[in-house]
Amino acid sequence: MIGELMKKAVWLRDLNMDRVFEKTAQAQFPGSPCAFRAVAGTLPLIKNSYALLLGPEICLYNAKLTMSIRSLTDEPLPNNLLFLVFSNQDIIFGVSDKIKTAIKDICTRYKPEVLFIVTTCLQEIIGEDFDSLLEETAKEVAVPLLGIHTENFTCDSAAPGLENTSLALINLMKPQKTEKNAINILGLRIQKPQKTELVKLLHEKGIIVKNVFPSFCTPQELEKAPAAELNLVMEQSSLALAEEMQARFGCKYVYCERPYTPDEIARMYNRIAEALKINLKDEIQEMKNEVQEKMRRLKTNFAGKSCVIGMLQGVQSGRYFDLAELLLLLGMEIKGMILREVLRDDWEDIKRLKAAGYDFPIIDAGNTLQNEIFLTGLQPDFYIGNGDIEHFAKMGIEPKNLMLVFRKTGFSALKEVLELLGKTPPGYKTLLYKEQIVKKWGAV
Amino acid sequence: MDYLENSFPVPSDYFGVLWALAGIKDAKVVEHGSTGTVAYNTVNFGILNRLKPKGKLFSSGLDEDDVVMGREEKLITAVKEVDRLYQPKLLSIVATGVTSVIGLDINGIADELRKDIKAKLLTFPGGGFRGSYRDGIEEVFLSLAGEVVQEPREKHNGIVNLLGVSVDSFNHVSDLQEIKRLLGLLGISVNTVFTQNTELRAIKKMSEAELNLVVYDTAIETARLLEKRFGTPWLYGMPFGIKGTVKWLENIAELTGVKINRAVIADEIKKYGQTMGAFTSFMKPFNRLRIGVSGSNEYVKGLADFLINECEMDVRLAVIQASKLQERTARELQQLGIGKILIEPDVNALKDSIENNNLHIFFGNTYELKIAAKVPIKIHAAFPSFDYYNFHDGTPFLGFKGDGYIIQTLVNSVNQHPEVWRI
Repeated sequence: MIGELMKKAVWLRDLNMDRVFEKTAQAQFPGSPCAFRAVAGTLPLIKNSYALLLGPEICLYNAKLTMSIRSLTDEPLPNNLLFLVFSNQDIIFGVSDKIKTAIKDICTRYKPEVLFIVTTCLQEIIGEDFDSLLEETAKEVAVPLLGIHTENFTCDSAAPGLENTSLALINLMKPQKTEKNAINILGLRIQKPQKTELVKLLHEKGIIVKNVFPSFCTPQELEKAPAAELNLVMEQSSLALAEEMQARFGCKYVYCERPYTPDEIARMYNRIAEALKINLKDEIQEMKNEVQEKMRRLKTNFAGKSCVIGMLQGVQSGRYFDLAELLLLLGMEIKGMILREVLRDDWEDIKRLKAAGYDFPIIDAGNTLQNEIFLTGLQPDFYIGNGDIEHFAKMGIEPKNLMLVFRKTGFSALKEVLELLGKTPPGYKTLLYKEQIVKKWGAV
Repeated sequence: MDYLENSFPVPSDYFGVLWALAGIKDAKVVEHGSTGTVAYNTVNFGILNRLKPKGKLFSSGLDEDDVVMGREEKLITAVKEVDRLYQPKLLSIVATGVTSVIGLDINGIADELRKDIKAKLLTFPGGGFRGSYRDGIEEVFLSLAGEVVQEPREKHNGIVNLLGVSVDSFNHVSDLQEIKRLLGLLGISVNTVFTQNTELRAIKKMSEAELNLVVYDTAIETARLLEKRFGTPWLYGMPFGIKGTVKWLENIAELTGVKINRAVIADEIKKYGQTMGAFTSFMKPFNRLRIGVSGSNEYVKGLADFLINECEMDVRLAVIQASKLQERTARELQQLGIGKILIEPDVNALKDSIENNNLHIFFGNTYELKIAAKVPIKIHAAFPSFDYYNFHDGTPFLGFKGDGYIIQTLVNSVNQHPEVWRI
């Protein structure tokens, strides 16, 4: 089976911008993440807002459930999602009036500072002019209405939905007088951004972080966002907003997708320092020395170990290939990669890895069953990425889930990576014991 | 208008179809829609005792061109691929909202495909616009009963089918264990639980059973169809409490001609049967506690009957689902003396009724229990239950063991909330 799959793999040495990843199977599970799902998970981060989700109950039931489950975690989100379910009758006779009535009603009842109106695939297919409807309704309400399209069948990832969300926010922004040393951070999804290394470091140098989008900024704060001298863009889906802000308001930007190696983190800080005309040299060197010492200590654990990297993007931001370089620096062999998309910032990393003579097979991430064939065929010691710990125990491959890293930035994120890599995930040993007994003794 | 801020959209027939098929071990589903829909389903399967759709559910990977052109090639390729790679015994094509609206002829495509694949192929083209999840479950049940169940080679005495239990059925792990145990007391075994943890082989042989026991009303039409096709009698209901369980066993014994060993039943009642009277005292007058019950029609009816007639407690409010049996169920609940009966109410109506009845105890689903925030004792008894698992098989609500479990739960909950005696 792995042989069939390898025919669809792209080797790193052959990876270039024209290379298209072949789907590992036509029948996919879980396939690409849903743009609607990503948007529904992002909008509660905008304070004092409500979002009206329009669509069939298939999408809305799952959206509600996702937010409900999130409410049981250490990062519950505000309950600001409202639902307008389309029936068969709505599809036949049209939904415009129903949407218009709902918008007016919500504006009166909930008094949001901004109301997002989010479509699903269906709205896009039935062919009603959604944007004109919003334009028309906006004249009758005192609340800004921002439409977000999320038709998932037109895209191969959740990224366009996130891009549309960030782009929609430009409509809240107004021209401002530029404030010296003021910046926005775009594309950082963290509950307490002020506690991140990046924000603290900049604050110490007198830089004012006006907005961290989409981490709990208010519509009023967003209005004043163009006053920033610079936008720091932390993920690709916020690039479009940065470009639009530059075009409309003259805000410059620096794009720094999450790096993983000490050198690349240092380079990111240097680029930021240069753009802001501040000096971070000493701080960078100190932090870099500290993590490099940690890496030296950890290296002994990974000598002779191998891994497959998979399923980060779409779930967690970051530069896949720079992560690969980090793992190589730690002494691991990379047996393969399961990839969803190549980011703009990945190409430099790819070039560097190729130049250093590294090579490994890469497959498309769309199908978990095929991914498991890939993994069992390659038999790495570790799987670096997000996934179901029970399945990894069944395969006897220790997962290293780096999801927690998304709450941190810079060297503190790298420290978290090293911490997570250095430990066996909680519960894994018992799961492995269970699976081994089940297999060995032959459960009926 | 209710924007479902504090409740949830009732799952559609699309979900019912997926859930009814999910319990058939050798079945696979290919849904024709954008992959995001399948990806999103990991969420709703996850609250069903951490069920995982991986290896069960696939997306055809429909894209923009397919929508514009009404193309079907990806679906055809996906179905053939799943048939070849995983060799399921049953394969179902399920429409999503998108394919339903663009009007793709899924039945026609399936007709063409049947000659090229080995699996039995079924289609479910509703796409979420044919009603609630209960309709979807019923659609699958009827389809299986009509197209998969085969003529019997022989009839087997002492074998029954349990109809109507799907992966979303509340507390089904424990309840099924108890039902099977109770049937064992009569010397009866179960051919299949239709459709939970079953296989196509067992479904094909459903016609050989002597009796169909309908646990949930979503399977009543199926029982009628099987009766029409094979003459199999059926019995609808769930055994709650000591009295309810004895009655249920007696009914089964009558329909199957089995002679009940009364000593065995007496032993059971002695071993497991608890009564609320034993826990009631002048300082703990359980009979005064005001209760609300919400859930499936069968659970509400059974629980209410048990609480009123066996525990002698005060059930003030009953909330049932919209269904073909709603009028009949409502009448039966009225006959029990329950003052307020609601059929699938909106959030405000439910909230008002809970508050107006000043309840001490409320049985319901997770969303309802949140609405009932001020009620001191909240007990999970219905789907959806996203914050409460029921994977352990020792927490039945049904049967003799269920009698003991419910009473234990009530007494312990009240002890944790002694303020109920002062409200």
